[in-house]
Amino acid sequence: MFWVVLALSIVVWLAVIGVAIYAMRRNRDIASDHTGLWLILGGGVIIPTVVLSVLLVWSLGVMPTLREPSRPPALVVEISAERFWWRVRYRDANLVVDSANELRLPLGEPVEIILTSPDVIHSFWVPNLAGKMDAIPGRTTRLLLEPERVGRFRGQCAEFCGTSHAQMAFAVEVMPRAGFDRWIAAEARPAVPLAGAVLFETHGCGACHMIRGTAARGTAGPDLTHVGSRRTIAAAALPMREADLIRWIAHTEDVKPEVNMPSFAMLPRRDIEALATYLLALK
Amino acid sequence: MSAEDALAETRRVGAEQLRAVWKRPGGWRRLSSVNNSDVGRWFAFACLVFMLTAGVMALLLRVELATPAQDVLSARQYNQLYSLHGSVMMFLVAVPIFEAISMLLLPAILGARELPFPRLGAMSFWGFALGGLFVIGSIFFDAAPDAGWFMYPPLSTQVSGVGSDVWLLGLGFIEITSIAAAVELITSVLKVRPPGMRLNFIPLYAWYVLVVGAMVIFAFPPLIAGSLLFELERELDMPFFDPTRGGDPVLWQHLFWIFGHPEVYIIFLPAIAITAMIVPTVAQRPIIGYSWIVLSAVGTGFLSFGLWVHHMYTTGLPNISLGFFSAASQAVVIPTGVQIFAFIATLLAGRVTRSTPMLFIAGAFAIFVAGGLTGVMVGLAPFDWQAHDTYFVVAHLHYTLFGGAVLPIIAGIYYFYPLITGHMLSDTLGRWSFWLIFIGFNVTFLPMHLTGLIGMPRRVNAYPAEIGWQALNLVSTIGAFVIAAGFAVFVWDLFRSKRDQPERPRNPWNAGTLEWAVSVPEESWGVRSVPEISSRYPLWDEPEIVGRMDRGEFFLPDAPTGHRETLITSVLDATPSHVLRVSGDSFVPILAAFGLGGSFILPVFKLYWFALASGLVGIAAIVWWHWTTTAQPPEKNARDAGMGLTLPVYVSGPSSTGWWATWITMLALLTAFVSLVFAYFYYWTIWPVFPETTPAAAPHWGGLALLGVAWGLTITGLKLNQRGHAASFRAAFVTAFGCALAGGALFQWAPFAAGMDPTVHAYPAIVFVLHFWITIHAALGALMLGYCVAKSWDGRLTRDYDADVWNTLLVWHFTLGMAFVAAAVTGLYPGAT
Amino acid sequence: MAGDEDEQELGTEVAALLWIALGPAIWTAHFLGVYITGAVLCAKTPAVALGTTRIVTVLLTLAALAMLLVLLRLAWRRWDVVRHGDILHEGDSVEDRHRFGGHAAFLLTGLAIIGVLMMALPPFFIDTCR
Repeated sequence: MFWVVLALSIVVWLAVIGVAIYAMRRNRDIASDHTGLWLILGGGVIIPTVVLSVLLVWSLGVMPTLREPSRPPALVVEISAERFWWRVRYRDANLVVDSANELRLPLGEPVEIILTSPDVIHSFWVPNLAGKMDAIPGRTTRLLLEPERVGRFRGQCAEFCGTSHAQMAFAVEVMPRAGFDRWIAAEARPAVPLAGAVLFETHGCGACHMIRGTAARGTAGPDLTHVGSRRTIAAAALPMREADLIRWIAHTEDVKPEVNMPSFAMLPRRDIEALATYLLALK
Repeated sequence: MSAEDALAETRRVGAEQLRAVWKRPGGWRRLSSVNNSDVGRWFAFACLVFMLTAGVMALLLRVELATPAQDVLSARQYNQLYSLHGSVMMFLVAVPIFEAISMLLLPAILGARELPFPRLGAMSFWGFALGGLFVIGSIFFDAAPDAGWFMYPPLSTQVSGVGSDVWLLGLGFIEITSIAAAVELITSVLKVRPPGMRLNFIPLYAWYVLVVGAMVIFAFPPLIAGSLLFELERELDMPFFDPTRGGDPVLWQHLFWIFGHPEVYIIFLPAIAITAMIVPTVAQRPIIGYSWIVLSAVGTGFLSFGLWVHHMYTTGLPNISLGFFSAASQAVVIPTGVQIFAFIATLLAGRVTRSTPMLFIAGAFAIFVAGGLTGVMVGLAPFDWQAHDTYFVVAHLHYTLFGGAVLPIIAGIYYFYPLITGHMLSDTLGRWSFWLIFIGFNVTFLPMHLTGLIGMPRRVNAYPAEIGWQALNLVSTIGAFVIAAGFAVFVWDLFRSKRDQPERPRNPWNAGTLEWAVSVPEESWGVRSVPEISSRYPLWDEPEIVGRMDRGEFFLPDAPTGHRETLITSVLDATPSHVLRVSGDSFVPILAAFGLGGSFILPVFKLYWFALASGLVGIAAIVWWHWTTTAQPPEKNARDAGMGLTLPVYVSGPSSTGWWATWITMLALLTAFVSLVFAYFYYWTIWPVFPETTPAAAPHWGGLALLGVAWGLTITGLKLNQRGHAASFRAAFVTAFGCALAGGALFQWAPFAAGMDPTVHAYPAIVFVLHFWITIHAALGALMLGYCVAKSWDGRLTRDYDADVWNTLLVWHFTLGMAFVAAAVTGLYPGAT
Repeated sequence: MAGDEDEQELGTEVAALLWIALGPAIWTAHFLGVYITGAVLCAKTPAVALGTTRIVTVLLTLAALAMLLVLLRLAWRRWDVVRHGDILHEGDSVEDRHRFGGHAAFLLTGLAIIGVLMMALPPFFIDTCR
């Protein structure tokens, strides 16, 4: 659709500007009032009316197909957009899985995204997959995705939501059905028991974060049960690397101003490193 | 003494009288001038300063975006700067520049001496300047608005700091002054035309002024209503946009864009209006398709109100709603196309003389047509779902605003500069500035289409390095500096000394319209005498006209009573109806503007009592100026207007300009009221169960009844006064005054009496606002009743001189109508659902 | 000093001005009618909304078109182009001004007809309230 409209626009632009330049350069007055009025009627009324009507009919025809699933969605993902991250909950036929800041989708199947927001207006957008849809406090909005090729994409918030709006992104991975099933089964399991869980708890991280299978049961921040398997940290603000994890834990405010998570620079360096190692190990 | 000498003597005396009456105050007292050419110049200058300031902000933004992780600005600074850039360009440049230019040129275009309400114009300028400085100044205190120029709640209501108040109150005040300016401009086009300027002779610029003025009257009030709700939420915790208490953030988007889309055309049409003045001059022939252009202006004015949801395509509204707005968005292209083709046809049929104004117009065509085409694209909902809120939209809107406003306005400045200053601008510098701006513009914004399509959202201060946006952004930043260079050349050309230039020729472009007939060297009277015309291009078709105007052979060639005057004519055929005495220079408009401005600005600092005091000073200043200058009984209600015509100098009711202005103002207030009623029913559509509480019946209906009595007594009073019963007239009005205040108070109390607390839920809150709206109108009506009584006692409001009574009655018609609707809605509707 | 005569004259003047804009005013009413119907029905009774919206749209469109066609005819008569052959409306007489008003109204009514027809399309392409 885009290319057709673009080509059409270029043709129209060249035609109009061509006539205009011709009109300015030509210096003999052949044209009379009559010719002028016919030009206005033809160029200003008839041609635009015909072209625009065709475009309108065409776009109206396309609209339902982009918003209504051709068959029942294989998967429903509830996403809550929050300043400045994404709470993600997969609802399959028989399981509910919580995650955050990353979206995995099965290839070639319709997926319905249900959007809400507890604070301000955000907008969910994966440019490579579909148009955008706002997440509005007090309302529930829906978006249909039907990815056509496997790959990794970037999604982001498209409605200005405050100071760190630019750092509110997420990673998307489209994978074949079999791989998706394996992944979601793993995502549904509790975290592997590791020694770092104790440190996580003593420093109070569990007050906000959930790590299923440990004592950390907070729900204010992102679920970190399998955080180590994600590709990014802090809603795609940083890549998932140990050095960046350390930087994030110690200096949240530098990476994402006005983020809810406080900076933990006051912790002993050793503890921060241990926490980073622990989180990376939560595959 | 021969007859000839006598005639020469009369003319000399007439000129002396005019010169004395229109003399400009000197020194610092110049600030008290209310003459349209002074105020218009200050207005235009202020717009230019604001524009350059917002331009510098844009440069800072572009520097920040030049590379992925620039650190020139913090995220907070970036957000404040982009919010201000948009708000300033929209509210302090694009809309007011139309008012500034019109204030400056409209009287000349209409061959008039002055606009009908000079003090209103001056007040609107001073209010604009104060509000503008306040909003821009906030950036230096880290207190600027930071939620974008459309201020979506809940971000702007619940998260943002004082910046939101600055935006709402500062710009809210400017919106009100814009409405004041629109009232004045509409009245001018309808009533202050030269004799003989029938509807089919009105210069196209004035047609556009009429349409744009009407659009301001209908488009700004929804935003003012929205701002009222918004500020009540921020200051008094009424939850209009808070979903946890029944509010809805999307309501703001509706109210904002019902204003916001017409606003785009409020910006665009005046630029087209300038083009419509330049094109015939450049082609040296009358415009082709005069009626077609009038059609486009009026048609665009209407259609532009049916587009607002196309800014909300991604809010999850039903497809069917989007479909309707998509259709309207396509339909509005047709009148726009008609205008462009009318210009092309005129150029085709004429002999085009190349000049700097024409160069800018040609550039504007190229850019605007491109912007229009991308507009067609984003008007199609499926396309917009992808492009919305990305750099594609940023590119689109800058294409329409540069092509549809900035370049035509610069063309207009080159074209009208000799008229305004008496000097010509340089052709060489003009060409330099054009090519720099034109090339810089395309280098900046053409790549942005692509930047947006590959995924860059707007309003981000940083972006990841590895996703390929870097080169495009760097190119855009470089382009931005080229534009800046172009503007630097332009501004230099404007302000460089032109002392060594000769006085300009009278009509340097050989144009056909009246504005080029104003006196040279400049006189503050504008025209020596107000001409009678008989064609669309009088300077081309009636070669004698300028000489006759200069010799004072037409209307109002003197000022025997020492009043500033202008001629008022009828709406359709412009037959002379009376001579209007316009008010003279005074500091009162400044006091009024600052007083009212204070009542908007001081609440930002939580200084509520000072705000109240300031507002009272403002109102007192306005009452004072009316009391001392408007609708004063003349010594003798007849004036030899010239050309053997004797006209009245005092009229009241529908013939008077004051009555028209009151009518138009009330129409704006009615529109704001309709917006509030819309909000009420909007809540009805989104709440599954509508609350059933109603305001307490006794004060509710009792209050309405009292207002009805006040209205009835106002009618009775008018009749009594017409029959010369001054005492009974006063008695009726005093009683009406009491009924108005009591009725307003009761009506306001009614919801509280039923225990409706407006902070608990959006329902009692919206009921409160509807009642509040009626109460302030009852208070306004009471003030006017009191004013009439006082003036009657003072002996200056009599049987024959009763304009104030007519205006008061008009206000009461509207007030009672609104009160009736409000009472029915809040009192009856909940039970009916 | 405002007599009945003034008011009458004012009435004629305002009527003549508003008459020119009657076409787009009908468009506005039609637009609000179909939009509000669609939006309210989708909010209140999404299951049956589109069927009803279609019926309402058809009725409103027919009513609007009928009015616009009458208006078009009236404007055509006032314009009176065939008899006078005047397409420029540059003459200096009440008659010329009158015909100009007719022409402007004719064009605006034409635009309104195109607009109304475009507004009538969406309900026939969209089947649900999503």
